[in-house]
Amino acid sequence: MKLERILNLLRYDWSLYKRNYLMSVCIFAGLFLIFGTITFLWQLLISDPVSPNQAPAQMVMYGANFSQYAEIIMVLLVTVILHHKFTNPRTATAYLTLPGTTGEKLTVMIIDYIVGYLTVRAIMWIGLALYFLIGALVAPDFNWGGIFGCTDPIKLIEYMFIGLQGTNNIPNFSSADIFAELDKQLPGMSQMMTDFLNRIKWWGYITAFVNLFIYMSLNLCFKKNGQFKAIASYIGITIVIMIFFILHSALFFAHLATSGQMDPNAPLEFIRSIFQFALIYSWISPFLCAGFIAILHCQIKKKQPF
Amino acid sequence: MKFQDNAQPIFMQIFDLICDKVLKGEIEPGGQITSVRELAVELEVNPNTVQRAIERLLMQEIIYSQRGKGNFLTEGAREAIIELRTRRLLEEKLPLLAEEIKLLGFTPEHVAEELKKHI
Amino acid sequence: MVQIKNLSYSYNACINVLENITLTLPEGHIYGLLGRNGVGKSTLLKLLSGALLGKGSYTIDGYDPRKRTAEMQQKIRLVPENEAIFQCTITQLAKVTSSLYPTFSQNIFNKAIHEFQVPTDLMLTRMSLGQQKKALISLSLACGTPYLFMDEPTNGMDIPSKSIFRKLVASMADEKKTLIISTHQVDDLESLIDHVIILAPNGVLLNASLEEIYEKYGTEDLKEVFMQVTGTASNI
Repeated sequence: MKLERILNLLRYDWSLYKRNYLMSVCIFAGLFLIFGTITFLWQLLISDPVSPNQAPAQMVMYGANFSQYAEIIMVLLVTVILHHKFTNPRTATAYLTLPGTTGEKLTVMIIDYIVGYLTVRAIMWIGLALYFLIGALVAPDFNWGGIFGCTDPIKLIEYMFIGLQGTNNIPNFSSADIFAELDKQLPGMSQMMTDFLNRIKWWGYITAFVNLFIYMSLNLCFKKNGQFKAIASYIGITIVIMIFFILHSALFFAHLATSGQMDPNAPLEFIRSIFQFALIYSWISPFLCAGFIAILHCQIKKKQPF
Repeated sequence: MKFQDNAQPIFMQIFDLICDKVLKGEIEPGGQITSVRELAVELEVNPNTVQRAIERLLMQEIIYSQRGKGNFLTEGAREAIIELRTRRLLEEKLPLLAEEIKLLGFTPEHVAEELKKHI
Repeated sequence: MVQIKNLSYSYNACINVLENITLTLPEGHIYGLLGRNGVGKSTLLKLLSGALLGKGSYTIDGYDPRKRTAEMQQKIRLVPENEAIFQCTITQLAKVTSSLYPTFSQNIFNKAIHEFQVPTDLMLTRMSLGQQKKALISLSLACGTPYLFMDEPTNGMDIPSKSIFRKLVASMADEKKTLIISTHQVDDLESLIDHVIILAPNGVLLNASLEEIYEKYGTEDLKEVFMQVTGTASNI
């Protein structure tokens, strides 16, 4: 692997795809602005906040929800552009015969994806920051300081990147009013969630990249119908996991019902088991990541334009 | 240069082209022949094919090669070419012409008269 | 030297596009790759450049194109019949392509672009097909690779451009370069070809130099030779 050639291949990609990339960025930013604004205004003007203290936190949660869906669309957009070079027979012929080892081309692809991924995160970060600034101007009596009053810039970035962990949770739970309510129902819940999330914070980032690699390898399947089969099998695996999860929950609640009592801690136990499941997944995810990189490597090696 | 179909191989046509130039006096004895590369580009031909023509010219001693300098016309090349071409005219082209004349029913005298108009 | 032994390829599991191909091609020649429609000429070029992965044994200078090593890819340039057209100018494409081929010559590129009169500031997507073709051929000629495989290079070119193409190829052909040109336009390229390969659905019908062809068929006229070879043998 030669660094110089990797850089040259990156420059090749940039020169050839920069227009597509910039256009997609504009389209995505535009869509985000439109739909994000609608979501944001809904929360601000129409819905009924519990208190001015809670409204900003709720908006962050809405923003996080929205950004999760946006992320899916974003990944699809990025993958359409980036795997075009392998699925379109003409660009595939050109790219496969271009001087560069499979390892170098794989590195370039990974960098392409990361750049695409970070671009979209940046757009969403800027969008959210803008909304809060506008919000602070439009509704100054809300407790915006509760979010922006945060002095730790890392924590602030974490707030904005909560979508990266795939959860709706704000790291600093115990101080957020909204979870005071939750603590009344499930004692110690917010503390438990804070502990858990602190533990899996970094694994969360890795999980996000594993998802990215899953998308990448799925898109690199040989033929169009092969891609379809691969995506279908990925959805299939997800459904199987979900069915397993539902069965587990059903059994759990059945046990509670037959044992004749509803332990006040039972929901907590249930939620605890969900987190354990998520924790196990986050432990496996680096290995999944390695596995998918291996699949990608083989795919590029065997890749043929049709 | 347009090469004729169904005629001689291209390298022979190049051979004849150079011979024509000699006969027309465009190349003097001791004069340099255009390089293989230049000829290839001018005639839009594979250099290997040009080389075949050059090799034949060398073989017939119409040209000689000076290492590092190029190919040059030999003394007496003109005569050699005339001999070659005359032989070809008499042995190949004339019999064909005679066939055609017989077919059309002309007499040699008639043909000679027509020929005088062109020379 | 290109050495091929028993090469075969199929796009799907059923039908073999190429079968039983055995060829040895010494370097320093311009090979004309001829054959009926659909016989697998384009496929052969794609196999030799590593774009497709075939069965059998085939090497270029001892390297297996299936390995797709960077070192080997720097020595081979494929000019497909329908190339990918990117949203950039030919100058931009040349800039990024040149960094990947150590044998790239800016002089040859500039000369070819100039002779073909290709507009350098126009996006490739906005050029006519003929202009695109000329632009991309200029780029590939300039890459200076020892092996250059071209698939129907003169398709869509106007007559003056075909002449310019021949001149450019004649100026860069030498004993270290091997060109394989697949074509139906025998008239356009006959003067450049010094070695002929004719493919058939199940093997190689002819692989001979012009001299050998003259000895065997009494003519070096490729159209006639083609008709003779493919006419008398409907299959091997």
